[in-house]
Amino acid sequence: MKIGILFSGQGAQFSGMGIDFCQKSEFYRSQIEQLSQFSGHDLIKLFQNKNQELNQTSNVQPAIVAMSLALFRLLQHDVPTIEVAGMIGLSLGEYSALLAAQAFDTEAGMQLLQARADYMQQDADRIPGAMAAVMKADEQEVAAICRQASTPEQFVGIANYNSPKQLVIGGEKTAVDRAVALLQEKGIKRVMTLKVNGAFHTPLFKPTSQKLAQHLQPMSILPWKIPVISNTTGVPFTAADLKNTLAQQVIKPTHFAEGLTYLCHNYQPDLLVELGPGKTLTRFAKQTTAEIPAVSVENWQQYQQFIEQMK
Amino acid sequence: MTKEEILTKVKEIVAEQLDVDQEKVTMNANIKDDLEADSLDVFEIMNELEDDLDIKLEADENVQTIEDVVNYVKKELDAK
Repeated sequence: MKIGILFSGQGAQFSGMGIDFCQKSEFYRSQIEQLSQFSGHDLIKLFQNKNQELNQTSNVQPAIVAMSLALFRLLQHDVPTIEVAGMIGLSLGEYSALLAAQAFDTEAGMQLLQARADYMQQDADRIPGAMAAVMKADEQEVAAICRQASTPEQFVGIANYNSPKQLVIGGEKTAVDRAVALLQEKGIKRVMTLKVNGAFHTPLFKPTSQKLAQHLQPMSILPWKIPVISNTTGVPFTAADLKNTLAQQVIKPTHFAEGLTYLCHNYQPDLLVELGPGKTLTRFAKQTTAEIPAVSVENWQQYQQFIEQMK
Repeated sequence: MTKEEILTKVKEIVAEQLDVDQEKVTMNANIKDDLEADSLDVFEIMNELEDDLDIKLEADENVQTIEDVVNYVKKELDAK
């Protein structure tokens, strides 16, 4: 059986995530300890979220990637024969996927991720951004309304193409408010403002993109085997385009549905599994590639059931 | 529609949206606490119910349990 792996994105975090794995598996715990060293965080403390640490972009990004990456390694450790057809992550989840595929040295990759998280936190603090989910609407129409609501100073546009029924728009808060009002006027009423503190995947993150490009420039890319599909291009990352694509990723829309369709069509997994907190991607998968079963593994019990199935 | 019929419909939609077994979707299950839905999930569940039953629902109406959803749908259906 060949599996396709989906790696959770930001927003899927919950208090106590990963803790059950740390308690049940010595191997998992040792992975988290090593990733703590590399990221400069006490990740177990972040997982516990006692002081709402996970509300901060600079904390939640390393926490989610560490939880997911350690889970991938645990799976490889417990089921060495597992065959991975391809991987895709949503935005942040691409870092989990690339680290799982070993496109970077783990320490360098975790440092890159921490730099991204810090830059994004700075940009989110600088300009008030907003995002809103738009359900079951026509892409072209939503895009046209966003153009109408944008001004040269205030951008709003489609930031996430999540599934055939879900788009997310994002941009400067006042421009997003204008777009939401216009959508309602045009009869597109299924719009919900999301509780986020930045307009991810819009030009508002240009400073992050530039600083990331600088950070990436001297880094070594390692040859990796498992295909990882990019949200930005909709096709697999290559060693030649990896740095540029990751720098662009923060200012370009994510095309998760398109990437997942590419993965399923070209690498033909028998089963999709979401590794990491939440089950958002499992749901997107069910809306996008309904013919392939999808399951989520975010706690120990689901993990046990999953590996039973794999053995 | 009777309450039982509405419950059947609600179970079907909630189970599908939240990826949980239908038997977990009981009248006294709390949508956010027991079924782990976020506000976007509740919004989508309301959308699906609107489409299937041809009624108008507000996502921010104060619904906490499945029973609240069933009663809310019943009220809107009766008012049609």
